[in-house]
Amino acid sequence: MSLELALQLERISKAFGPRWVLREVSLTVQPGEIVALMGPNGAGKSTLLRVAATLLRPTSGRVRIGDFSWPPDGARIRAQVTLLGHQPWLYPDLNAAENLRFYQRLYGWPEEPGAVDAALRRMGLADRARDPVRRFSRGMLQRLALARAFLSPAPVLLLDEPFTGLDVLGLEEAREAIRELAAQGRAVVAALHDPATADFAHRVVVLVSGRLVAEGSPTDFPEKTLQELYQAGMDRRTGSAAERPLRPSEGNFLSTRRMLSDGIRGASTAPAKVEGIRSAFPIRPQGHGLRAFQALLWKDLRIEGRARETLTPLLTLAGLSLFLFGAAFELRPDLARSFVPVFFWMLLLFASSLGVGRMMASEIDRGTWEGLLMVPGDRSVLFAGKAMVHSLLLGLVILLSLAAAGVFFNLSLWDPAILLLLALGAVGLSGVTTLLAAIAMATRARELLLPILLFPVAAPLVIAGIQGTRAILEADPAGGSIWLQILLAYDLLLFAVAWMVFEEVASS
Amino acid sequence: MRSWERIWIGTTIALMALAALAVFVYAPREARMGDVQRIFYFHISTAWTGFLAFAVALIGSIAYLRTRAVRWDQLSHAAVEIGLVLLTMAIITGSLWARPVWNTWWTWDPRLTTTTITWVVYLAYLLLRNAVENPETRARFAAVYAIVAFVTVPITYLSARLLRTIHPIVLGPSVSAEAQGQFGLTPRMVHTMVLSLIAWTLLFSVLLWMRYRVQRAQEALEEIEEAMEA
Repeated sequence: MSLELALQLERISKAFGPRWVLREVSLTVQPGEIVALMGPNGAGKSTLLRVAATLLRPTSGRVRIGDFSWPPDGARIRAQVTLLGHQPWLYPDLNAAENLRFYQRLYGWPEEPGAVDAALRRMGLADRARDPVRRFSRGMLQRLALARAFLSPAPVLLLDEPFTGLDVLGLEEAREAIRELAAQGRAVVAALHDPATADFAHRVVVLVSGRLVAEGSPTDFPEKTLQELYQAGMDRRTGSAAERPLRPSEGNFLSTRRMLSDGIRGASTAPAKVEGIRSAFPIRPQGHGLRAFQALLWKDLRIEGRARETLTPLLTLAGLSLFLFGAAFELRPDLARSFVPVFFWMLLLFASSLGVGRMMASEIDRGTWEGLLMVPGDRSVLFAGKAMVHSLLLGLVILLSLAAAGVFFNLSLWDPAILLLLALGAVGLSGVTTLLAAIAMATRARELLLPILLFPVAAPLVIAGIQGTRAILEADPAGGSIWLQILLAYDLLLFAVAWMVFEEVASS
Repeated sequence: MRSWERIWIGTTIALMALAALAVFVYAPREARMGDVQRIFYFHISTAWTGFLAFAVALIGSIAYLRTRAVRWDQLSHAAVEIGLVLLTMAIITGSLWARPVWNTWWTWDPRLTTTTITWVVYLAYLLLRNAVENPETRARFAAVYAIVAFVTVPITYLSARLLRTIHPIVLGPSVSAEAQGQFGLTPRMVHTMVLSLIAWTLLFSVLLWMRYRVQRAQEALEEIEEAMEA
């Protein structure tokens, strides 16, 4: 497949509830062309880029790149697109080079030796490659995010306010790099707010109140012209207060000399002659799922190893709970066999809710969740990777707590059947908690909602675990076996359902 | 109201009245438990329609994720609301029945526990809807949760059949020797039960339709409000 693929947006409309944010936006960006997308605040520029990047599903219309279109084929479109979002999608506990290598592997980009260093050098960060990103200023974060975008071999580049926070030097470096990428045959769309930075584009299109209202060369849109266009769009919106809401296909819009009618327009200014890279970029490199899975595992374990943001509080909580439980009940060994299983399974449930919730909240708060959602292909790889990390975390907490329980209660829980039950519980819980945390953390209630969603769904699993562990401790292998089967069946059912529906949750 | 709606609602009211008559007049008095057993017809009918409502919510949720048509989300939402009310009635009638038969209002029996879990799961569904502002995200998350939540429904059904329980199984063989309140169904009892199930199922369908229409009307109202604000 050639690198040269045009981006076609065909009558894209997007409504959030009854509010239309985009109305039948049609635009074609040719290979090698740079289009500057201008518009007032709230015009729908970011929404348009997010639809084109498959982070949002259009209410109607399609995004086409080559033979693929979104919807429905978001996974394939995603493989052809690189998005630089509002947030830089960087992990503060990884260094600059590690951040780039992580995304390189997650997205299945070619891992050519020296590519990361070259991208860092391109954005003036060569001497900061080994520095943790938490020490970077806003401008440096933007430089690193741009370096990641420039590392991508994808034929379509979507840049949302790419020059935010850059100094004049960085601005020029970034503009030069974008020009080079376009010269290689990439189709580039850059949402900009400052008309002074748009002169590197081949074409400017103006979006007002969700409609493309004008297009032309950068020189056609000095600040004053843009102000008039924006004002005219606002006036029209205010003037329509008494009207019913426009459906996207209704009504004409501004009548400037460059007014756009429906339909897809090509480049009005010829882009530079395309030369350079024509190497194939497969839709989904072979073994990409496994590479992405490994990348997620590596990233989460490395961050946890450095920051211990989740494990240390969970172990402290487990130790404290164990101490309080032991001190409060002063259990004799015969009673301990009955009560300790309750403690362990409740610990597993709370650790799952708190630990997994915290890890998912961190992804969302850092804004990196969107970066993960841009993984080409099936997003269930995110589910697999996250569930695996969460299982390992829960497993570690439980193993250390088992050792402590032996001391506090004079009770050995190192029975293979008990370990199997707890391992199954950890896997099932991490699966369903990963799914529900992705839901809860995107809501208003966040950490408060997660246990409300999780506890009732996980209750049969926890009850089966408690009963099974108790049966094994009380030397009732038949009872233990029945509860093990119930737990296994529920575990598999829950994990399978969570896996199947995760794709639906995993979008912005 | 359209004529077919009038016929539908009229039939439902008539059948509900007939079912009530059958429960208190036609059905025989159970030999051991006496008149208190008559609550069984309400208990089983509300439990059945409650779980039917959750099955409708499951279908609506799958359909929503496939089509993204808001009407499926509205159907699921309506079904869960009604299902919760019906399951609450099933739990209350069960508790009222348990007091004289089991000598307690409540016991941590597998069937009671799993039914309560299902009830809480669907309550969480409503709380989730309340916590999401964006209508599209709300519908998507709610649909996903309704699919996950339904996993607890077969567990509830199987709990009284697979585990040691004191909850009676009236339909089908019981595996538990500890079941209390077990009784044999006479033909008149079967007639009454079937009539009750049909009447309550019809009542559920009417309530679902009405709630669904209210949801549609609310959506239309929101659109008008949005247009006025724009």
